[in-house]
Amino acid sequence: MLALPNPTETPDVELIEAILEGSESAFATLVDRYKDRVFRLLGRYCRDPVECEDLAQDVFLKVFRKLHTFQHESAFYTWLYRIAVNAATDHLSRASHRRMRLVEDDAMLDAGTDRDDGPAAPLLTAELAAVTRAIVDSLPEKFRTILVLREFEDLSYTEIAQVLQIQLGTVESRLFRARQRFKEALERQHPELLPNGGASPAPRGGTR
Amino acid sequence: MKLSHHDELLLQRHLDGEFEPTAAAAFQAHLAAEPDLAAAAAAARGLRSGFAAARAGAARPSAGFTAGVLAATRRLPSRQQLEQADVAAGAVAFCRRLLLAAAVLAGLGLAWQAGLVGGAEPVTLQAAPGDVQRVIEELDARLQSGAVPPPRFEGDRAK
Repeated sequence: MLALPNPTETPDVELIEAILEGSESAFATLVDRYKDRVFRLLGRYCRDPVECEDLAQDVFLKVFRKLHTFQHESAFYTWLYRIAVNAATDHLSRASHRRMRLVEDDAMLDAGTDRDDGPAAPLLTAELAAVTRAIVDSLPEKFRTILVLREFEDLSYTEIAQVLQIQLGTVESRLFRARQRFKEALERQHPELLPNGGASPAPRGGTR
Repeated sequence: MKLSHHDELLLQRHLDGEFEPTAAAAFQAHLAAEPDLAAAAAAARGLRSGFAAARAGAARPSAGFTAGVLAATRRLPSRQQLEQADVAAGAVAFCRRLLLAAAVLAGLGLAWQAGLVGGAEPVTLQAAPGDVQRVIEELDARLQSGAVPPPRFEGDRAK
């Protein structure tokens, strides 16, 4: 079995080689490196932390099983994201008969909120966050996923194109339409939360 | 004034940080000179603040998550078996596709043979009227010269 001198600084490519040669510690390093990102992504689709943990474990098991098929054509994490997004959307379709996730009782919502935006800000920020999540959750899957990847995961257009295996132009137009749908829903449901208080709506796009 | 779709896409690209530095600087100057565009940019930034707020509170794995994943991988078949299973699955999928293609082709062939597909137009050989007339005259001439025996009919045999 291969021993890595400094696992935490070992590049992904070397970790992958070591895993394919049978190194368990290399796989542990890879899981440790990416588990937070995978959780953050899956947390946009899962109802509760236990469900999210099960799904994340499935993702890493699939990564382990399919690692020999990784072609190094893109960064490892975009390949990992692709697996995670597919697992999440499968999970959504399986869970579609169950009740929709309720943002208000989501235990994950409160974790890690260490912002300090002034005395009046936290309430508005929390409300804005809850409404944003609820609207994103209600969007069709393809709009939801592209918003999650861009707004929450901060992926570039190129990375999104690699994860979703679509053209760059499609990323741009889908993202635009997703934002339009988001804005329309916000105008409809919570006009008071619009940046201008809903007084004069921002310009609308032409692609519907 | 309503922005054009093109301007809205450019604005989105700018706010997403997708421009190269020089293009970003040029767009920034454009933004400063166009109040409508600047207002749209401010509104879009406001909408994005909701996403920034919602970023907080992401799920976090439990302390034993990695150990749990490693334990699960130990229950999997060996790497060699996984790769072999993958190859076998690929071969099965390929054979399935091949069989499906063969079945479709066979079906199309049978349908074609039964005249259900294509062949809607009857296959006929056509000749120009002049050619037909010429052949008839040649046959008449050969009959008259005795080169070709005259056709015999039912009544002729009875005689």
